[in-house]
Amino acid sequence: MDDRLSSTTEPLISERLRSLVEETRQGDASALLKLRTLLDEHPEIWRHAGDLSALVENTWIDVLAATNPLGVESLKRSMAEMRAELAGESPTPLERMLVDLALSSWLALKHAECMAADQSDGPAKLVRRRQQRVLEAHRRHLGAIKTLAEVRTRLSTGLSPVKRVKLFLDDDQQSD
Amino acid sequence: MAWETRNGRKYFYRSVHRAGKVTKHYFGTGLIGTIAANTMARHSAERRAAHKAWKQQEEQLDGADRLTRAMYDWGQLVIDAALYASGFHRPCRHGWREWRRGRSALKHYGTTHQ
Repeated sequence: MDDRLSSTTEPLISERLRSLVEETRQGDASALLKLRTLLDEHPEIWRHAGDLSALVENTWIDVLAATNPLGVESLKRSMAEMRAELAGESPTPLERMLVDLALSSWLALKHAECMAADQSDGPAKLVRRRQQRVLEAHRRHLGAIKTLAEVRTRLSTGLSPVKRVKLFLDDDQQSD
Repeated sequence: MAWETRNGRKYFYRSVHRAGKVTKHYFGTGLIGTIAANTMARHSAERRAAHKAWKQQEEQLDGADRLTRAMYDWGQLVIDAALYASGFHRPCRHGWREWRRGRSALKHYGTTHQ
């Protein structure tokens, strides 16, 4: 597993990106221009995000396939449907990345919930670790969905789905 | 778990620690002792195998978790960068808001978020 992580090393400008984001966070408006330039001129930033999310997705699918090989195909189809629904017709690179984050964290959450639901005996420390994993995965997934909704609200450039990301159905849709 | 010899006969027993005291539970001699010893050895081997399987599974999951965290951390960095670069900021960790000073700096760049 560590081999997979080492095969996707961060782009060389990652340190520069981090320092510019930190300078901007501290209120340095002059760092904004450099940040904008960096994002525009280094597409490897977005590519790395795409590489990582593909790797994470395949990793979790491999993990899930070990316990339920027949369900993997159905899982892949569900993910393709969810990706199409969340991304819309012409997502921006940022939206694509956020959709990938949401789907990968959903996979991790589903796996964590299945493992935690397994009531078989095991070392108490490992049982607690499984419950902790559910909480972490849940927090990550909700964070990804929330950020996707926030970005869609704030950044309306480019084509985005007409319908906003909805977590709950309206009353008239619930009766369907 | 062990065998103890008394008066020429071997007895199978198990030591139990309870409330700071150690007591011996004897299962018997001969065939009964042998059956008890084999059963306990089998249970012990099953527990060790289950623990080993759990550990291997957890190591695999820890690896997947590390990868997911790396993806999440990189994603968060890029999201923050993109939102800052679009003229938003997040004062005191509240939600993202328009950043007037940032937008006037971006006007020199030639493109601002409308």
